[in-house]
Amino acid sequence: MLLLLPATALSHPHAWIDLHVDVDIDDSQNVHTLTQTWVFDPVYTMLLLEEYERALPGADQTRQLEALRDRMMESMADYDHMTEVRLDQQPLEIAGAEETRIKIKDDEALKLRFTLKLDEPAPLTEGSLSYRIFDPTYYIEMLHPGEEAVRLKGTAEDCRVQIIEPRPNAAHLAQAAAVDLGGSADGLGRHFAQWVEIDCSRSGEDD
Amino acid sequence: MSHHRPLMPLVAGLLLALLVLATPAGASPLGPDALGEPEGPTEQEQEKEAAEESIGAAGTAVGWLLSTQRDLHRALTTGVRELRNDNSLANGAWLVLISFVYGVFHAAGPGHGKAVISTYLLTHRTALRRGILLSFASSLLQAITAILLVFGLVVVAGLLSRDAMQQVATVELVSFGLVAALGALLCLRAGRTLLRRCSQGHAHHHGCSCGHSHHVDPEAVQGHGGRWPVVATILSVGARPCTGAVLILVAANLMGLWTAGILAVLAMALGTALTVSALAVLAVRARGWASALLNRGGGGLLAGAGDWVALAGGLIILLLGTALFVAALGTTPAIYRL
Repeated sequence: MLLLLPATALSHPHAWIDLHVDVDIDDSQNVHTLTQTWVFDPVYTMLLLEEYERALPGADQTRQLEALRDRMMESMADYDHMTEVRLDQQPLEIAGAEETRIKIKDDEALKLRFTLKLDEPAPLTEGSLSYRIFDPTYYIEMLHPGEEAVRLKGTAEDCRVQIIEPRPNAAHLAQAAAVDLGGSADGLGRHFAQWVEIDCSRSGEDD
Repeated sequence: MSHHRPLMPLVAGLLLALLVLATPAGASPLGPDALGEPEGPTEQEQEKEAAEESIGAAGTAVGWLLSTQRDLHRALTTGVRELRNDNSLANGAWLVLISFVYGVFHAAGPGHGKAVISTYLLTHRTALRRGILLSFASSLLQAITAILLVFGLVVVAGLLSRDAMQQVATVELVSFGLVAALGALLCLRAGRTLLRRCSQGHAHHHGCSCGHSHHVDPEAVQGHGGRWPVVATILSVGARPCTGAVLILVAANLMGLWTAGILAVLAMALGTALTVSALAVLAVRARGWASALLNRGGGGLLAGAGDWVALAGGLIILLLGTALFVAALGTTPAIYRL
């Protein structure tokens, strides 16, 4: 029996983001950056637009979006932009984000795009690279819609991409259900995050 | 003392087991930590529990429920978008339908409303019709709360939709406080009845636990405690708006489609009411079955036992409300804003 508080049903994610990631691999099989595109859901997009419409009334949408972009990037800076990267199970340092762009598609889907830079290039010859992107509070659910959402850029013929779906246990599920609208559940998000694994070990002897 | 005494733990145990069964996901208010830890996930405990639990049958069921809810949540969001792009009757009807299905599923997950209602119905004799009425009224009130809340905060007070959604947490606190108050009220009533029996019981050799009541007191005809507790139950459950409803209304308001939003939220309430009613029927039946079993054991026994059970139910609801209140106070808003 679970010793958990019953609480609100479906209070877990209130919004969702579809993730698309380009993994940039150089000629010597090193990964330098992960270029991420986040597509926000239509309702959350509306909420954000409302906020910036009010903050900068009458300004053109480009300016409003830029202000939104700046705030997002700033508030995520201390959280490695919600990204965790590992090489052969060892965590890698993240240097920061650059080349941030924002646009709105069909007036309904906000797209944030940025390039996340690793502190040091990660050699794929030394083990598999894995990453996960998630909102720790699980207010927003962040998922890759499918394996095609992860693209390997560069010399990566022999690399295999695998998305490992989250397997939260009953305790996490019940806890997710118990998080209320305005609250947060720090540390909950990772139990609902996908791990993406890039394995190029079989191509190691080609060099 | 009384030769019926040994039955008491059995009765209580049976009812509590039923309560746990009737609360999906085994989300039991009886956990030893029901009053303890607010919900900050203490990692080690979580992990330990995870190791012991892995994904049990309950977990799988809840997992399936939650993933279905997630899909429905996405369907709601895209339904809103479709309506925005094309405000046609078909799209409006679609959104209402999705909302209804969402309501049915939403209610099937763990939730404090169901825990309160099923605990109440398991521990207080209630006519079946009244149990169903209770479920429908609470669901409808939840919808009305959501509508008034969004209208009041966004339209009247002019808050940003996002900030209005954050305010739901405050309303939630009120609701949890009401649950605790309901529990206290039920305890008081049961306690009073027990005391009264006690003072009458001196004529018999039964002690206080189960006096025969030779006169029929008017309250007993209606079940335990007349209209008051039912109203209090409706209020405590209905004061908490459903998050899906708030989301739809906020979006509807931004698109200037209040009518569609209100219809969708009412459909959602209807769906919720259907699921909760099914649970209520189960609870009322279970209680009837338990009473029948007991009555075979000795006439008049239930009159006293029923009060003890009602007291236990009141205590559970009181603990539940208090625990939820404390947990809700303990949650901190996110530090970053996406």
